[in-house]
Amino acid sequence: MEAGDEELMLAYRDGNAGAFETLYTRHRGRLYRFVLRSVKARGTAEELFQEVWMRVIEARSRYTPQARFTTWLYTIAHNLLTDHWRRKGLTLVELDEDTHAPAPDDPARSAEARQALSRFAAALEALPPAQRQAFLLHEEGGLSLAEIAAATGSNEEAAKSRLRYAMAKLKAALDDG
Amino acid sequence: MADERDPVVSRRYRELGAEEPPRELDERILAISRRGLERRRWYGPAAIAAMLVLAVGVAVQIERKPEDAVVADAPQKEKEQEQPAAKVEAAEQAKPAPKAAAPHQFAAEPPAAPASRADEAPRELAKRNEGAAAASAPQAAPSAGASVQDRLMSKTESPEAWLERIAELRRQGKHEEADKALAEFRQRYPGYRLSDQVRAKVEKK
Repeated sequence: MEAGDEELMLAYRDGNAGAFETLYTRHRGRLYRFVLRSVKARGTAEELFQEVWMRVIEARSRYTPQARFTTWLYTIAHNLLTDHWRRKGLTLVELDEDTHAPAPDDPARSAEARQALSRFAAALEALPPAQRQAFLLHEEGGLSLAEIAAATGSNEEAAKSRLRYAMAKLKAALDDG
Repeated sequence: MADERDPVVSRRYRELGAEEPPRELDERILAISRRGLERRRWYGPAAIAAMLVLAVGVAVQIERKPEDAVVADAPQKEKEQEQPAAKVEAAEQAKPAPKAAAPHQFAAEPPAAPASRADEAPRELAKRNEGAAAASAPQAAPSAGASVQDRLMSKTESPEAWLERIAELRRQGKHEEADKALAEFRQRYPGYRLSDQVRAKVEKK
C-alpha cells in the first residue's frame, strides 16, 4: 500500500530523503502548473515553485499533520503567489503553443480547437485572481471547498462562491465557440 | 448556476497542457532536500560537542579561579598542612609494607583530569622543594604526591567515586587515610546523605 503524503512528510522530517523524493514526484507536476498558470513568466513560475519546496524543506522539523499535506503545500504556494502579486501585479501565464494538446489531422478542426483553447485560456486569464486561485486549487490541487477556504484564508461560503463564478465564466467561454 | 464540478470545463482545462518543471529544477530541489538532512545530521552532534566544550571550559575556569586567588599564601598553608602528614608518614615507617605502598597505589590510578594534572605539576614541584626540609626526600615526595593526588581526585571525581575510593581504603585496612578522605568528603559535600549501605562501607566500624 502506498504511503500517504503526511506519512512521507513525517518520514522526511525524521531523516528519510527517499520519502521527500516520492512526495515531490507525486506533487511536482500539479503544483508547477498551479504556479505557472497563476503568474505570467515561466522563469518567475520556476522561482516560485522552487521557493514553495524550499519552504517545505525548511519547515520539515516543525511539521505535524494537522491538515492534508496537499492543503498545506498549496497554502504555502498561495501565500507566495499573493506576495508576488503584491509586488508585481496580477497576470496569468501565456501558454506556449507547443504545450497544447496534440492537434487533430484536419487543419480546419485543428484551427477551431486551437481557437477554443485560446478562448478558454483567455477566459482563465481574465478571471479575477481570487476566482482563478479557487479554480486552480480545485483543478490542480484537488482541494475541497473547505480546503480552498483554508488555503486562501477565507471561509467556505466565499470559496464556494468564487469557484462557482469561475466555473460559470469558463463554461461560458466554451459555449461561445 | 454552474456546478463547481463541471467535467467539460475540467476536460478543457486539461487540454491546456500538462507542463512539468524542467529536469534541472527537479534535481536542484531534490539536492537541496538531501542537503537539508545532511546538515541536520552533523548539526546535532556538533551542537552537543560545542556545548560540552563550553561546559568543560567554564568548569575549568571556575575550578581555577579560587585556586589562583589563594595561590599567594598557598605554600605556607600547604606546608603547615603537610607537616603533620609527613610526621605520620615518618611514624608509619615502622610498618613499611602496607603504608608505604598507599601513595603509589593512588598514583597508579588513572588520572581523572589530565589537563588539571598538567596544570598542577609546577606547583607540586615547588611544594616538594619546600617540604624537603621537613622529611627525607624519598619519603616526602610520595607523601606530597599522595596529598596532591587526593586533592586532585577530590576536585574531579564524583561523590560516588570518592566514596568508592574510601570504601576501598577501608577494605585495604587503611583506616587513617579513609578517615581523612571521609572528612574531606564531608567538608566538600556537607549535604550529601549516605545510605546505610554506603555508610557501612566508608565509616569506621
